Amino acid sequence: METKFRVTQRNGQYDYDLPPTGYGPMGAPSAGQTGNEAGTMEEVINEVAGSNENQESEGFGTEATGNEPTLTDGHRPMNSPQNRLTTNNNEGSLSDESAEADGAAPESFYESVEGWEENQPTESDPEAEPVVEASLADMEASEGGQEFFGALAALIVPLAKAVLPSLAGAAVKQGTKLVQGIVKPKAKKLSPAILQMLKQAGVNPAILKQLEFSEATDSEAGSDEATGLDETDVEALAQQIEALEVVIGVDDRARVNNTTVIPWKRICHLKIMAADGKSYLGTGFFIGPRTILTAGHCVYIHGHGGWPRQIVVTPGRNAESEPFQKFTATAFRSVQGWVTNKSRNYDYGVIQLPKNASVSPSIGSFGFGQFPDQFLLDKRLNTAGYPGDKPAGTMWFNGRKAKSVTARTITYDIDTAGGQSGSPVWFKDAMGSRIVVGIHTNGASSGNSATRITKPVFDNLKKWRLEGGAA
Amino acid sequence: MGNITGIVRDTTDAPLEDVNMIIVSGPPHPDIVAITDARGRFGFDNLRPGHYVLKAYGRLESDEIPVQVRASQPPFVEIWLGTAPAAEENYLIDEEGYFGDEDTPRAD
Repeated sequence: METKFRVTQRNGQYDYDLPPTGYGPMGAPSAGQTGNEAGTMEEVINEVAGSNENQESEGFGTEATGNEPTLTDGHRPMNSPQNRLTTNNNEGSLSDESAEADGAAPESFYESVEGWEENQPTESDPEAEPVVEASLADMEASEGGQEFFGALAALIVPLAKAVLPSLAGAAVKQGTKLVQGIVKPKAKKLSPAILQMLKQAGVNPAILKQLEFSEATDSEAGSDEATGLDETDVEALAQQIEALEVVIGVDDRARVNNTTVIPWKRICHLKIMAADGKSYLGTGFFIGPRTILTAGHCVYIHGHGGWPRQIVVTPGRNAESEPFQKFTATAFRSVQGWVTNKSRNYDYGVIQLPKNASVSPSIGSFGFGQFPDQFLLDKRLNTAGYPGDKPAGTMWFNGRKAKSVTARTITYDIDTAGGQSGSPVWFKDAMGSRIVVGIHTNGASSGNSATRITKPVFDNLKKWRLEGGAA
Repeated sequence: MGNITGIVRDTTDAPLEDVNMIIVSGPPHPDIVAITDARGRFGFDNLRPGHYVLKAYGRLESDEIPVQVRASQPPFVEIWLGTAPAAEENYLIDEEGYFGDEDTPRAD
């Protein structure tokens, strides 16, 4: 049945019932951020940004530039009203004494900043790579089975393990088995003849190119080629690869069925109650014992009173299941570039749980860091969060390489949907640690994007993390 | 910057609460879910002018709804969303599990 709808254009503002004075200082109307004046100023800024490369882009949808900002202090931290810090709405929360005990978690759970010195270059220097490591060692099994066929395994095995466990798992398994069956264990190279047959069978040229590249760079390959293949084998392999592509093309997202393990338990469902009483859903993730990183627009909602009245944080939510204690937070942090200037480039903030919040130490936190452009472009980026187009409270994962990066954003074709704002965008390093490089904030037909962790972002996160009880 | 506001009702014109509204496509926008309140109202703010597509996810999901945002004339979207039919109860009792006598009416 078709949905009946009607869209009418209205003059003036919407008819929401904003509280008379908003909620706290940032929610209160002020000359700089309310009414037509602010809108007009933004429109002007946007116009200028479109014609001046050196102009800092403002607001959603304006592409970030690779140049220095005109905002002189966009990363200046801003806090929700101080009096809310004493407000504790935690469900089942403990006393401060208990919190102190809780805060005495083993230091190893929250490692200190590594690879970072105060005199390191600013964010404009792509070589600076400050990193806060993940707080707990990931306990996944090491990836095996890649010896037999480097490039294809690199495509299939990670997907089979993480991306498409429910949808494509069977196909991937079969494909892997097939590849294992037709390529000798020691043979790491496909012959040109096989590549040509795959090409004729209609396999995506992009994948074939990767296979060719792998062949060219694999010094160990030698001449030990797979032999004994017949047309049926190659055709079957082509079909398997094609099936894999189809699954990815239809819907890259895979549901996370067990949210009680790393890294999923570090990702939180957010139910946000704006200052004007409106409700929103988003995602956040732990970067410290009591600090949850998210999008700026989750902790400061323009047009709805600014700092939210409260956010209910549910770690590792899985539909109706809440495997960890949930918390109601009322203390938030963001930066001037978002709170005052509404700039997409500064769209990040954190939720600070109350000091007596008894967060399970087993949850741990994500590491995060700043990395050069090419490094980000080379890595497979992953994200997981709580999209609103899926069953309520279910977590979904997806991963892909970035399309492009700017000085302050990362753009990708990773499928996301409303509700995933604030999701971590991470890569997995050689040691298996997950390092966050961006905070997912925007959906767009032209490519979804994250606020990139740059030096000033890193500095603020480090500060907030310490404020939230990190050692 | 513009905004989108609107209301979601059921087919009897009653407001629908707790419906997830998401922007499916359009210019870059906050990837957030707006939940309808008790009056069925929702809103997205800080949107660039342009063509967006909305979708509602309640007990049923809506079709894709095109909305144009202009800074001077914010659109107001009214959606009538069907409610999911109640799950059919199974009144059939298998013959093997039926122990009544012939006079006992069967549920079927």
